[in-house]
Amino acid sequence: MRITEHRMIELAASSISQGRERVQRSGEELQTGVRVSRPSQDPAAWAQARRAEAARQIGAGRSEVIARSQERLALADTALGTIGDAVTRARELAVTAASDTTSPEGLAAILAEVRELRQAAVAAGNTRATDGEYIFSGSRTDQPAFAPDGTFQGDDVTRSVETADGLSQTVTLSGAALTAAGGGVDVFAQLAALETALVANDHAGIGAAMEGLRAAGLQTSSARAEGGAHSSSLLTADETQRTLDDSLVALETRLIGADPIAAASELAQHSQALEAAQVVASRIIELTKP
Amino acid sequence: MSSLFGLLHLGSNALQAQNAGIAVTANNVANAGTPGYSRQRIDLESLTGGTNLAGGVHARGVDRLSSDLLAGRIRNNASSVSVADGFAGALVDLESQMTAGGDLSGMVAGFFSSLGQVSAAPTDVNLRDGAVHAAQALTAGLHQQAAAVTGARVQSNQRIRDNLTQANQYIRDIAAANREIGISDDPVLKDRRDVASQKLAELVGGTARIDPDGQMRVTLTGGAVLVDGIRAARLESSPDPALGNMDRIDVVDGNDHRDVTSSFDGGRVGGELRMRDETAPTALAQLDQLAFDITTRVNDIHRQNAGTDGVSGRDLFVQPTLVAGAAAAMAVDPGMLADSSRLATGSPGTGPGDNQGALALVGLADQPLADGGRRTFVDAGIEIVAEVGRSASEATSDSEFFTAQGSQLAGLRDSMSGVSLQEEMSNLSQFQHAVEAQLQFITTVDQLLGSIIQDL
Repeated sequence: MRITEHRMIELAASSISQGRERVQRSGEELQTGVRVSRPSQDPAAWAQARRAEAARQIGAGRSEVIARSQERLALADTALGTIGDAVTRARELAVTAASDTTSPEGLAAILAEVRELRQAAVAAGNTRATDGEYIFSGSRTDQPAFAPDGTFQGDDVTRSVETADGLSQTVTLSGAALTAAGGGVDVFAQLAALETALVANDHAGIGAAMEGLRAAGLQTSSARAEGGAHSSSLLTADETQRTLDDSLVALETRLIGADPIAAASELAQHSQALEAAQVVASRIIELTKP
Repeated sequence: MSSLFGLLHLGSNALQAQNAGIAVTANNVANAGTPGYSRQRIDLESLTGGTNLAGGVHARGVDRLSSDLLAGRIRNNASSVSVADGFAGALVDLESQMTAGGDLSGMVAGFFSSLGQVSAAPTDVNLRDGAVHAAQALTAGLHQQAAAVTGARVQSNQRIRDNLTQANQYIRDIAAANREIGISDDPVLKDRRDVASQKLAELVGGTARIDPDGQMRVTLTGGAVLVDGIRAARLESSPDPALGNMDRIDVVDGNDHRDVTSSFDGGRVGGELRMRDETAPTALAQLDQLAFDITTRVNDIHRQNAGTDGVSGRDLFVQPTLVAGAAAAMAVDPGMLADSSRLATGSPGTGPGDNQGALALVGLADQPLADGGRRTFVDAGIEIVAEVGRSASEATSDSEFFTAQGSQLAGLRDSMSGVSLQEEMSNLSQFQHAVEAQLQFITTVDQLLGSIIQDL
């Protein structure tokens, strides 16, 4: 085939141009650590990486939701602990009050303490979250769950949050769990019953209250256990989310990230090829000099 | 037997022929770098001597070493390269505008993620405001994407206009070259016409053929004639409401106007039209459908639930009546922007802390509710941009393929028509020696004649 000097120079120039382009691309990959920055560079990888990124974004939101819910469940656990302690202490006081050896002054002191315990328990039942919501009020979170006399004012609505695609978990406890509607006794009513029996120095009433307080203690523990189960489920969901997030990061890196070793090797190869093309071009120019 | 005067005449003719060879060589060297130049070769012919022993040589003419078939293939390939280049360039432009316009899938994911946050604390005003803000960011993202596509179409339209202006110049150049070739068979005119027809093919494609009368005729796909001998039509663009005020393209020949917009498939203009009238409108329609689907599905759930004020039956987004234009018009309900307590996060009849409404809205993100029930909203947002990228990638591959093919064809053309300086130097040396020999011959004959004359 007949090849002119003009053609040889054109081919040499084209080789240099292609070589420079390759060196620039490899250099960019090495500098940025990104192999695919535009969809057209690898549409399938780009789309997969975007899906992974979107899933991570939604996952990050879920992690915040889980953290917030955990925080609220911890508050609920503390509050139920306070109520449970109050019930336990009230029962101990009821045992003392039921004794014939307890003096009237002793009974008065017990009454005062029981009154304080009931008020503290109601206050715990009206615990508010950092955003101001009453955590035991069900859906009526803008009002206290319990009236000062211990009457439940909320509803039995519990809150669920989505912890994975199509999967939601309950993350709140309603104060209804501490009432008869929750399937047991009314915890605050049992404290009030003891208080009433103490005021009336009603030994039979004190005895009955002791039995009621035992059931109330069990009911409070049961509610606390339920909260713990929710918390444990959330912990599992959070760990799953973290594992998924790690996998998504790895997937994203694999899809669009540049392998530094491969990129450096390519850069070296392309640089050598460019140098060779430049040498060839200079020789061609020498050859074509008249 | 030749007379001495006859020999002098022979030598003179030969000298002229060799000088013509030197002139052709010089012309080749001078045009070695001229784009589209085809090397020329002196056509020497030996003359019959008749009753004489030798007739000598004369220059019969100059040959242009070229192939109309190869030139046609180069023109066609140039059109294919330009279609792919034009399409790829316009798509890369569209792609960069869409990716610069924000991450659509991220905005969709962000919107649903913010609703998820609200579901954990429905009465938290900051979270509610954040969700409304995310809804607004989503609408802004869709506006930007729609504007990016429309902007890319407008820019493409402008490039089409510019290309047509250049194309009209080449059409006139070809017709003018045809006129001059009809008068003089100068090879340079044919080179110029070939260059002009190749440039025209790069811009608008079409087919060029050389008829037996030596005239070039250029037609577009669909049969519209751009050049017929010395007659030149022109390409006109004008805004057409039927094309969304983008330009339609007419071939105008005298009073005859022929709309060629839909049949235009060649050259850079063909590539631009493909992006402007096919890819971009498809992307815009997909954006509109996505905006319409999100708005409709979210509003359906939103209306069934209540805000923290207990009121239900309200929309989160302004509900569009048509799919067309939904992306550009998408908006958050003004009442919602003013008061995020209207965000329907709870079931009707429950307290403000209920989150069933928010949970139902969050659940929309996982369901295949977009793209005719085939994709989630996030996926649909990704697919719109990915599809543009896919087309750009294919067009770039096409461009690389046709460019490689063009390089092969250029090699073939160079092999036949290119000027080799070394070859020309060799020719020059050959002609130079021939001239020197002829001069020596003439001198010898002259001396013989001189001797004869002195002896008289």
